[in-house]
Amino acid sequence: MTREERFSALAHEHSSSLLRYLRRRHDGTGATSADDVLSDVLLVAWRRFDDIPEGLEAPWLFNVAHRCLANDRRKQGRRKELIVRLRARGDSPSAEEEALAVDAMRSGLAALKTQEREALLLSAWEGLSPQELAIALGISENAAAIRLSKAKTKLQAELDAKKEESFSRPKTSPH
Amino acid sequence: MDELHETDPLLSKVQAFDPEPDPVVANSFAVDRMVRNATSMPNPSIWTRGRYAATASVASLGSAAAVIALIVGLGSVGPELPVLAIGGTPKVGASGDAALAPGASTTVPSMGMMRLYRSYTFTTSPDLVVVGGGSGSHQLTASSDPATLLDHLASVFHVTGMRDATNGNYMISGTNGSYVQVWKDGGILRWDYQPESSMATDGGVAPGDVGGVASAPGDVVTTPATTETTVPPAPTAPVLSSDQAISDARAVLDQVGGFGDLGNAQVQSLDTGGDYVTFSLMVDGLATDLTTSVDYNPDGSFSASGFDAQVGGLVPYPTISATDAISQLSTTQGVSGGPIMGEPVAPMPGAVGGTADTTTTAPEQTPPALEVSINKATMGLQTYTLANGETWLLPVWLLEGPITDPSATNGDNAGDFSQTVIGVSSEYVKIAVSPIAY
Repeated sequence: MTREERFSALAHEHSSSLLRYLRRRHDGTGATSADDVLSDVLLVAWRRFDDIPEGLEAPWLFNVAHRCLANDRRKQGRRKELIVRLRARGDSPSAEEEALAVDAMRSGLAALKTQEREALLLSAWEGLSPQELAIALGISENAAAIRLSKAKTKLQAELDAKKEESFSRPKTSPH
Repeated sequence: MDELHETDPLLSKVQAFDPEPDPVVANSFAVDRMVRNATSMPNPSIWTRGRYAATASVASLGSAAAVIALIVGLGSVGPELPVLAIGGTPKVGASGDAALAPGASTTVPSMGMMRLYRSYTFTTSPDLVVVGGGSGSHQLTASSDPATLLDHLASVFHVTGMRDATNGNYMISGTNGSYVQVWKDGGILRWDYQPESSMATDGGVAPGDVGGVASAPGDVVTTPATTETTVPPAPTAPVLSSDQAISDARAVLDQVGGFGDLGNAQVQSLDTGGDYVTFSLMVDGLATDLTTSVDYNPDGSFSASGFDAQVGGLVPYPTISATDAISQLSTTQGVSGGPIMGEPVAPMPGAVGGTADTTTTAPEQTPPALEVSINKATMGLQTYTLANGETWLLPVWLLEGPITDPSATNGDNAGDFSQTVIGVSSEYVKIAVSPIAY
């Protein structure tokens, strides 16, 4: 296979997961779309094709995607942090509980540092292993594990606090 | 990788809130096109505003629907002036011309897949205004090696931490999430600095800091690299005035140094607060697409990016006139068989899909061409990376004019067109354009 053919195979293998990654994080506004950012990811990947670690292509590409997204946000002049578009899924006992869960998760994720949230979401949504997480975050495996652990601890604390708050809140307003 | 977390209830909860729970399948054709676009660039660089401008320029010579277009008669080239072999094809993007023509409408297609684009016909307006002309070309070279520049930037921005030079990307990552990175872009270096996240609660970059070391305005602090650095004046959080942002940005960039004549700043105030300050390198009195920027957050922290490029002596490549550049727009259409394309259009009747999405299918009908009357031509300088790895500043014509849509019933202006065309005589330019078909 030529170098171009190998790159094409790599792109086809990972584009769907990259597009999913980007759609999860791209807010869909502005002049660009997740597809545009994917194109930029592939440009960088081609430029650094020889540097992509064998067997760890996916997390390496996620790392590039993360930076391309950051560039995209800067270019668009949108300084807001990642807006996580939460959508409840699965069986929910009630609309109220579902709403509370969404609210708790939204505020819990928002309370995390950007880097912690990225570690958590890469693990939960992209399903990266600790080794892959390290590559995707551009840090050591140990540091990645610590970051993920911190994120989980913080999120759990936030969820617990929300739960406590909802228990202590009156169900109905007095007239 | 998605089958996981059955034993981790917390991650399972997070997974349940996945905004894209269903598998996404990228359109194979779309990926093919992206691959062709990427691999047509022997030495592509990371996305920057300058890159957008530069790549958009290439689009004007070889359209997106081109084949490998090798221009040039080698025999006609003067012995003292080698052919400039530009090994790139357009990185077409919706904001391709933004750097040179703020506010102008989109003139080249987005990379969104399977859209139907409007084509153009070009004419020269009798009221054509020509600004500049006859500029020379300059080779650009880095003044230092990546590692040295990285050390310098880490010192300026006070980033200390893990060093990584394994992926062709020279980077120092701070423990607080800040980092500086340097990478080669052809014959020059580019760099980027990011502070700790503005959401961080510990050790963040405070207003007035350079690189997160809190100091009072005017203080002198000793950096880890044992150099002394004067901290620039503190921004006035939460939102800087434009003048203050420019002043602060200049102070930051002065510490980095080595930029040459940066000219006047452009400030973009962001609706979410903060300011984005950009300077363009000035060469021969012309603004170039080599930009450096300081991007202030509402909390006063900032990120920055720039370049290391020394401008070589003037090389007198012959240039084309503005009218020749305009005619080249049309010639390109004829030669390459694919027009410079405009905005994506709405799906036509009977079409399937038609939105900017890799998962949709293209409409089947072609709308009438848009008519452009070029009424302004401005010469500037843009960076190009040659096939041999050299980076050059080449003259370009920025061509602008109103667009008329002949199919519109009200005859209103359909927007403003702007496109750059390489100003060097085509016999000295060789462009490789990949076989991209929209």
